[in-house]
Amino acid sequence: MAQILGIALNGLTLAAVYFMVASGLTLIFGLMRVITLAHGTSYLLGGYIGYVAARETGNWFIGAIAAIVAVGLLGLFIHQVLIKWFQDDDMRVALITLGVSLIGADLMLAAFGGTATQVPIDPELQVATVQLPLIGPYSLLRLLVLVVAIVIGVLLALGISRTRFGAVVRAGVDDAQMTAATGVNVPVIFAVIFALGSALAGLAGVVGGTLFPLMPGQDANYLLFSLVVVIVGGMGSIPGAAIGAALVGLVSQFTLVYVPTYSLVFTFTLMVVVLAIRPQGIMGRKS
Amino acid sequence: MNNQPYSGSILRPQRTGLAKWLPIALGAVVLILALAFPYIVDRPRFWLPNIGIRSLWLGVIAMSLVFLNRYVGLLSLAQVAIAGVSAYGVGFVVVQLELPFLVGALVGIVAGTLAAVIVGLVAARTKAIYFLMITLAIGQVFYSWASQSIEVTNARRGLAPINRPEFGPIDLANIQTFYYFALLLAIICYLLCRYVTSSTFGLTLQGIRDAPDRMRALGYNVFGYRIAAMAFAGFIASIGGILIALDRNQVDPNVVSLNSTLDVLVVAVIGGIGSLGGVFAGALVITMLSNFAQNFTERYMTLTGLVFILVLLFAPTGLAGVWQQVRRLVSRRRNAQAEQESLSGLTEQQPRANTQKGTSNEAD
Amino acid sequence: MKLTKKTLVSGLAAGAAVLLLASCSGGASGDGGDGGGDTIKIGILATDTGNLAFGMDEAKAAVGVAMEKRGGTVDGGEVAGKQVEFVYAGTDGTTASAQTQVKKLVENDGVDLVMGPTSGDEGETVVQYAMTVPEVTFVNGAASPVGMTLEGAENFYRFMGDSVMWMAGVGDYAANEKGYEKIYLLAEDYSFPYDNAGGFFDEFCAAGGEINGASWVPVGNTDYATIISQIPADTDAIYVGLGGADAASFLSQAVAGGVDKPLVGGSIAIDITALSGDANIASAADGMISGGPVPGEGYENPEWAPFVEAYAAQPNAFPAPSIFAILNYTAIESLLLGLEAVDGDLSDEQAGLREALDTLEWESPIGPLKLDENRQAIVDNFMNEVEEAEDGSLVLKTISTASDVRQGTTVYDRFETCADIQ
Repeated sequence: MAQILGIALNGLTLAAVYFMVASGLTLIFGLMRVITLAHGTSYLLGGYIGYVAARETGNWFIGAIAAIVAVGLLGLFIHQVLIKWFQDDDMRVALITLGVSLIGADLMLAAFGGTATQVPIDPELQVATVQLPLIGPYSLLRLLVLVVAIVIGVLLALGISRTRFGAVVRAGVDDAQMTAATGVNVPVIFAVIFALGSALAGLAGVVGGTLFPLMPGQDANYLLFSLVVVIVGGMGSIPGAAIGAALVGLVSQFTLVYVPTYSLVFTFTLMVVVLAIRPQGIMGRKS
Repeated sequence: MNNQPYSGSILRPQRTGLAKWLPIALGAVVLILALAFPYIVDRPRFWLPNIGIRSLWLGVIAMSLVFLNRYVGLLSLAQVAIAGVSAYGVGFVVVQLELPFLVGALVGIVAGTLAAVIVGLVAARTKAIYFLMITLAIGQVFYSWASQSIEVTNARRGLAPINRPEFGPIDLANIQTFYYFALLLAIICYLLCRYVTSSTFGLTLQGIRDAPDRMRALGYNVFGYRIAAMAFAGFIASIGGILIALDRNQVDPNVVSLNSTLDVLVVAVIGGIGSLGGVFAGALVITMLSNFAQNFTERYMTLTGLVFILVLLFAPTGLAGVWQQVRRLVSRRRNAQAEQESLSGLTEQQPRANTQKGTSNEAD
Repeated sequence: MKLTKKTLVSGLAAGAAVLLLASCSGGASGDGGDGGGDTIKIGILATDTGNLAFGMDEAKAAVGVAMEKRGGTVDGGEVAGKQVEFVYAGTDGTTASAQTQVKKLVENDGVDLVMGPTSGDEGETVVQYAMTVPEVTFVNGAASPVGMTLEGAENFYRFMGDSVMWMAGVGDYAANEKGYEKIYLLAEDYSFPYDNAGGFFDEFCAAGGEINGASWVPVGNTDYATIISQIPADTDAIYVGLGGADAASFLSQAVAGGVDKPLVGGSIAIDITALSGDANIASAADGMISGGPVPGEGYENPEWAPFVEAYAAQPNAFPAPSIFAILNYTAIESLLLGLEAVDGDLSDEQAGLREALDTLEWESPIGPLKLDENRQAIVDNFMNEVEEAEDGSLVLKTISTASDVRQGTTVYDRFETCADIQ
């Protein structure tokens, strides 16, 4: 029993990282109806920048802030230069961001090499454990990651449903033209959201990069997982991303125990099953 | 004129004069060059496999992608995986079961087409952007399964050797013969695609692409037509898969990796995402780049990505549409001149803005 | 385009023309192989993008060391009275890329000899290709799959051990010297770890040891927490068949998970750079044993020090020669020695050279080298242990050397217990 709970907690802490990445993607899609296939690139770049900054300053938080700012700005740049003009042609945007990801992956390979790195953190924190009821000692770091993800999720959900900015965002989702007609500067909102979504991926990169290795290929890996999470959870929904991430994390961990060779296959099969039953995702709205 | 290649239109103005004959003349020139290719190049044993044959199967698979995108409005990133299913079918039959090649080819084509139907059943109810993501994910599932399954695909070691067979006087082990064989298959696939698109079936597909609700109201089984279209595209991709197995003399997970999927997409976009024939031009560009770019720069992928983005930004109709873009630029300049000369004060026509989001590739 | 009669006819005409040409095709003209004139072209196939992007630099360093001894450079020079020219082709580690580039070297650049490739996946593909060009001699770069020479080609030579041979001696040591009885197997699920773990456990099981659990994880898996929780409490040691950085990742998660067992590493698990960056991992890695073709500190061989010195003078050199530099060096040096033995004569389909290589015996920086009847080398293998130096950094010490290690007859697949492989 303790083992099953332990595996479940592993799944949830893994899901925490998936949620952070996917939340950015679903936010961007929810508002702008565009998919950025450079989202995995944002994750990996955030991780690398966090690694460099944390290593140079010895402070993990500086690494995280550096990653958030840098990746957010990059996202802004990509949006203004490449995406803004074709905002209505979602296929074209998807393909353009795919091109960005090709370039990004190659440049990161040139800059950081092919071997893996991890974002350094205080060594004592790395091995600290907490005594949990029924499970026993569990990694404090993983629990912290879970807490961070929950906090971010709650902030995002509240921000969208309670603040004025969130109301404008929701209005823009439903009807961009009318929202513009009421005097809201929609292009600015779009730019902000795109930057914010990218920054979220960058933060996820630092957090994930503390627990797991950063290396070429992780960008494609996290992009695929965010796509699955968002499809399962429903596009444009933060709670959906949370549910999707939890499902993906749990499935991947449990299958790793019982059918390790096909763990990845089962995770994607989850997506197929959800699509068959409810094509718009668990919390998605049929538009 | 069609400004949005990513959602097509069945309405095409009638071409006259040069515009009508130029594509045909161009096609004839290309065909003659393709036929003479082994005799034009100085080292055929390099050029035929690395450039010629590879361009042919890349083109065939990209053609299936273009067919689905242009005439059905669905951009599928699973075509490479489908070709891979076909190639693995050949590999499994020839290497594991030790049966003759023709049996393997038949199994491959059937398996690939079936795989395409299954992909369609899973994904064809969704909107285009979902479809893109789902087919991407399905392709990756197949890749990860192929990398792990020892019994069927021999995991990462792959299935080898797949020797090229002999059909009487036609010995495919000879590289030049194999090149012509591949060329013949590519031409047949191209003609098949054109035939299907201009048939009633093809016109129905275009109607479904543009106005699915209306077609449904008229009594068409929209979902069924989409599945049929995917089956046809899967058939074409499967032929590409057979060529891959013969060209590489083996099958391994690399055939269906993410990089291979992106290769085909890049080929389609550069060649012209709306053009069935243009894909071969795109394939030529990619194979030349991958063989020779090393001589110029280490950052070959960055170069490819840049070209990809530039094409998407400035020449979305790709190489195939270059001529039309040039003509449009020239005629626009001519119009501007003409209007400057006239004193009637008409304001210049704004290029048509793409403000209608809802019309692009909505599935349900 | 409507399918008018005109298009149908022209289509059929095109098809007929193609068929006619196809059946009339004679042999396409060949190229390379006979060392035209006095210049011998040697193609070097190595990875220069992807995970092993430094493969090309290391290959060039190896060529540089070998050629500078003869007064030449990395681009060429004079060997056995003939002009030798090197042509470099970079791959990304995939089979497709290897096929493309090796064809380019042989067919387009017309090389007479090929050294390469770097990675295992590419290795088997290159051997398959070598069978189709019997007039070119191939010498392996650093690819280690067993099948490459066990079921190889007449013109393919490998002057290094295979993945199984790389663990020679370690299984015995673990059972008899370290006294391990039960070992938990954790490795990546593909062919290299199968062979590498097979080499270790074959010896370990024969010496009376037991595998008390196995986890074959998919390549690319980064979360080991769940697997760590599966490791039984009475395990004596954990076999870590993961790549260097993944091993470091596993270690940090193991430490966090409260697992504190001694380790046995596969040949690529010990990567000093990956392990050195983190105090916790360093203490966990202390005492890890492994085997491979790379010697650690304390290795006494008069040929080793001059090689290390010559390597250090090469451009882009690492602080110490990597496994790729070392293996590429033994490969190219063997090839050049063979050329010198026949005065550069490549006539008669390179028969003289092949005979010279078949019978070549020399003292390499990593021990004596000679070939068996499958053109597979008989080598020394090193058992290394990770030790924490006084200053807290990690060093690799050679604790034992196995001599005269020969290729076995088994190609391993996924296994779970000793019974599977005995």
